[in-house]
Amino acid sequence: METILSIENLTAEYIVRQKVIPAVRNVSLSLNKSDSLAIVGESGCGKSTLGLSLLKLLPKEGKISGGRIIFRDQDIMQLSEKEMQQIRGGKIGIVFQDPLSSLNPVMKVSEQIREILRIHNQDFSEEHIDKLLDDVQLDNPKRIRNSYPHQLSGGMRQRIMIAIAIASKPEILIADEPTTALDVTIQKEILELIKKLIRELNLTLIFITHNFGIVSEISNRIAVMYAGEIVEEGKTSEIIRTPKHPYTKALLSAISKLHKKSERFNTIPGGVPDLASLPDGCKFNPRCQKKIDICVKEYPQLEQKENRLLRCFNP
Amino acid sequence: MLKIYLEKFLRNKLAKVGLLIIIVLILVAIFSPLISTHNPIEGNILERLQSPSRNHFLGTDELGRDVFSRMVYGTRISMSVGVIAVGIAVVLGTFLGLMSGYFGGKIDNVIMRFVDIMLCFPTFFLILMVIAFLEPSIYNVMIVIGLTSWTGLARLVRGETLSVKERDFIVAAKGLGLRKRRIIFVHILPNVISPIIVAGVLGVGAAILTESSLSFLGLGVQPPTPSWGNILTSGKDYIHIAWWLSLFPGLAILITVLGWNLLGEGLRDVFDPRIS
Repeated sequence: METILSIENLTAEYIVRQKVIPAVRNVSLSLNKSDSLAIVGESGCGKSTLGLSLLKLLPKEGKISGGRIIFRDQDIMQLSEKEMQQIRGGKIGIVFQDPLSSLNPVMKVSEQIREILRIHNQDFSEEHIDKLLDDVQLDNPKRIRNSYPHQLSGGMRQRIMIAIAIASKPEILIADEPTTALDVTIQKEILELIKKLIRELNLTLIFITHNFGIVSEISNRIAVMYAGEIVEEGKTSEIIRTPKHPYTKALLSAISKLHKKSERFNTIPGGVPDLASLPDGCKFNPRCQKKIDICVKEYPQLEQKENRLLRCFNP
Repeated sequence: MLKIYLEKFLRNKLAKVGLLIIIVLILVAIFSPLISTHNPIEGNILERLQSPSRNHFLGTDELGRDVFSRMVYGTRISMSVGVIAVGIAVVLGTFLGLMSGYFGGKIDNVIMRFVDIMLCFPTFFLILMVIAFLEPSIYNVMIVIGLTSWTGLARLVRGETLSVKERDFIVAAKGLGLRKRRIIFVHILPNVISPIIVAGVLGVGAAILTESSLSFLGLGVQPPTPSWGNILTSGKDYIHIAWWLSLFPGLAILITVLGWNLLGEGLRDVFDPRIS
């Protein structure tokens, strides 16, 4: 299978009040054509930073301090801003979490779609815009085209964001929690839509989420992140069936199950660690239920164990 | 969107009054030759200093010119000076404010320190000085007022830009591969346009006042071209025997500035989402 994107030892940090906060540490991933990879983790684990780094879109406090990102045969780190503009929205599309704030409130939908088609040299006729709206299953394209974002529902707006993201026929689609701001029934529809588009357009997907419940529907591989690093990575089916890392197990047990009657949700004790002062040894050890002595003393490496990559001394 | 704004505007009585005043004044300015009853430049010296009458609605001045006609033509001058001066200020202030807010850093520092320097000068004396060196003509007045009144607007636009550029859709626009120029002028500008409109409209009133003051001091529009300011100047010499020479141009200035201010404040309320 051909590798389309490979990330090697990527490290990204934020510098806030002269303190260095490493949000992503030594992350390596590789994606084959038509893969769909889910990046899962709690808020603040660096998953969105990873997504933004791929397009060099970090806010000005942030910077990529190490590693390489190879897209096709190009090293993204070496590209100029001008060349990046070709990649962003052209070869790699991105969908953000909140579709209301991600659309310009004072521009009609048609203008926002036309704009992206024009700068990436695509056909920007009205028929093509209608076709895109049809691709994301929006009815009545004429009404939608002439609306402003606030006149549409959350689900419709997210469909428009997706239409914009796929407008220039990208190879990779990064979806950064695209369903978090939506209610559950709409979530389901949006997931179905993304699945359909991946199939039809032969897209490679990077799906960033904190919701383990939807991962199995959309991805064939999972990378679980904790405190800026990958702790477990492997095939979706295997990780969901037999999670090995205590963190992955804890996340999975935190999903409520309809068929099991229990009084309370399972939660993970403790909170996300302060990235500026991480514990020694395994970064998860303060919250880990299966902690042993070595976890505090030594730092576990991400190693191939059976059918997956795992960063744990005592799985 | 526009419909909501229009409804909100129409509910605001004072703003409607302001708009009405301005529409009337604009019509007067456009149709001056039809409205005026006499030649505004040439008078009949035998009819000098006549009080208001049926022939001369607002009386005559010291050279026997019809004050009403002079004021009608003066409307043209005042309105065009106000609008063009503000036009210059808006273009300059908006552009520099956008650059300052979007790029930040050195560019921001240079522009904002320049604004600080400009604000250190008493503007009116700066204008007086510049006009004293150039020749006092209506065009110089417009340009100089424009070049000295963009600073507040630049600060305003900078502040708005700073907040808009942090919003998600700007990140999204970058994520879609848009160029800076397009992000600034197509995505940020329309989102900061309402305070610009309000400041611009309020600025017209201020510019008209500045022009009148300059003309009053003899450094603005030069006689015999009529302007409200220079009618007032000749009025002050005859205030004991010809009150109409001072009163009417004074009132005209007052009403015009009031009109622009009412409209400006009305628009500010219209654009303010907290006022429904």
